[in-house]
Amino acid sequence: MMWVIGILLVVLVYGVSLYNGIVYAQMKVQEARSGIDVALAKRYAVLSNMQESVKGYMRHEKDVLEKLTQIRSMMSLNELYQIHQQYQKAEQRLYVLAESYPELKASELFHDFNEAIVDCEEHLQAARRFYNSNVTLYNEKILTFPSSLFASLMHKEQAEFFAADSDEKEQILTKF
Amino acid sequence: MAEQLEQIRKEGMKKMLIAGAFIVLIFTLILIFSASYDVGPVFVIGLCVSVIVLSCIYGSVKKKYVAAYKELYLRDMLEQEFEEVTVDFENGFSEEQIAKGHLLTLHERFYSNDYVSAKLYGIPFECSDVHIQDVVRSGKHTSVVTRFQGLYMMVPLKKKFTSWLVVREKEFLDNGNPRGWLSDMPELEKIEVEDERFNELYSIYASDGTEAFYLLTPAFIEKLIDFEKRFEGRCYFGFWNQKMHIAIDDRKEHFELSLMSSVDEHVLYHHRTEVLMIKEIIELIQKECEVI
Repeated sequence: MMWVIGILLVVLVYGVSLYNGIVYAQMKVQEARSGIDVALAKRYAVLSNMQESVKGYMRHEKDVLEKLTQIRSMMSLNELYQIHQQYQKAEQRLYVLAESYPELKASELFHDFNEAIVDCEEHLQAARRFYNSNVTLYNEKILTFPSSLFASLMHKEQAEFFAADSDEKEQILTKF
Repeated sequence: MAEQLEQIRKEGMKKMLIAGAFIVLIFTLILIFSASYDVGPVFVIGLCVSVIVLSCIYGSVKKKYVAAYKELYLRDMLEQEFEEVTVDFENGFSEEQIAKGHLLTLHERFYSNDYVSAKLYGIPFECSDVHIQDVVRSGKHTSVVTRFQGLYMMVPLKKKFTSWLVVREKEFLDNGNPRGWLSDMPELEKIEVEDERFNELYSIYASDGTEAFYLLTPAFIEKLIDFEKRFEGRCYFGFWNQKMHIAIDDRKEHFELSLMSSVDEHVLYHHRTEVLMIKEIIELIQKECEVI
């Protein structure tokens, strides 16, 4: 009788640890996602500041920068990715604008902007890599036996990866 | 230069020989008297005193010889490779500096010497030899165990960061989380990067995962993998306070030499290799370092 209770106890403890493991991994994914939010918010701030600063150069090119979308809480990963692409396009337009105005390109303001964008991009890449690494760990947990049994009972689904487009970005950054 | 040094060495050896001859004479007298008197205890005490006296003389003579060698040769070797060289061969990093780093665990005995502060390609760095020993007592037996012996280096980084990151080469009995019970360090979490080779080689502990990935870029990860291959011994890296701390536990006392042999090409080559090792470290991580 005692050994049956013992086995049940071991199974119970093991089950609790598996359950906690899945919950912890999911928390880490959410925590890492907030890193992407922070990086995008920082990039928004840099772009908005630059938008204000280059107004003088844009008298004849009013549509150089569209209105930038600010990130909101509870945005889906897809929405975040679209914002990320919108920011990239805005940066590209700014760089093209700088090509047409050599005095802007040579200015300290543009140099600072370039540095800030590189830094933002590095932070975003770090946040994306950290997020994706946590997603890998989480997905591993919910797909591998025996934790997959608990995951299906808890109705857990695979987390999405945040897409990478570093090649495209690197081209822009190295150009200037 | 070589003659001056050789003279110091010979003088030292002469002192050792005189002390040795004196001790042999005393023991001979003791043995002569042993026929008429019981000299057992005197013999034992005399032996102990002799060992202590010889060790003291050897220590002082060697210290003088090594100090002269370092001033005459090593300073020059360092100045050939680096700029703005400042050295203190007698001292190194303080115990407090190493403790604050949280990269190495301190034990009962701490020694550090051969402090070098210089610049390479405009990158300022500080390095020193560090030796940490633990005195293990079990019943009647006491033994001294070396916990770390090798080069410790600090280099400022270009990137701005506020968190803590510790990267340690994996070992059989891992010390686990570098954050001790009473540590002033923030909570550290074990993380893994996307490179399996790196994860197999190193344990990574970070107080902020995103910032850890910010510092450990794929290119830098490659460099750190290369680092482990290039340098003998166990490698540890710490990132905090805008600096990268590097510790290589190769169980070697760098820039040392024996009193028994004179300084020859072999010794100079060996020490030049050790100087070049510092240069190689900086060159490897050059892109990440701040140029001042």
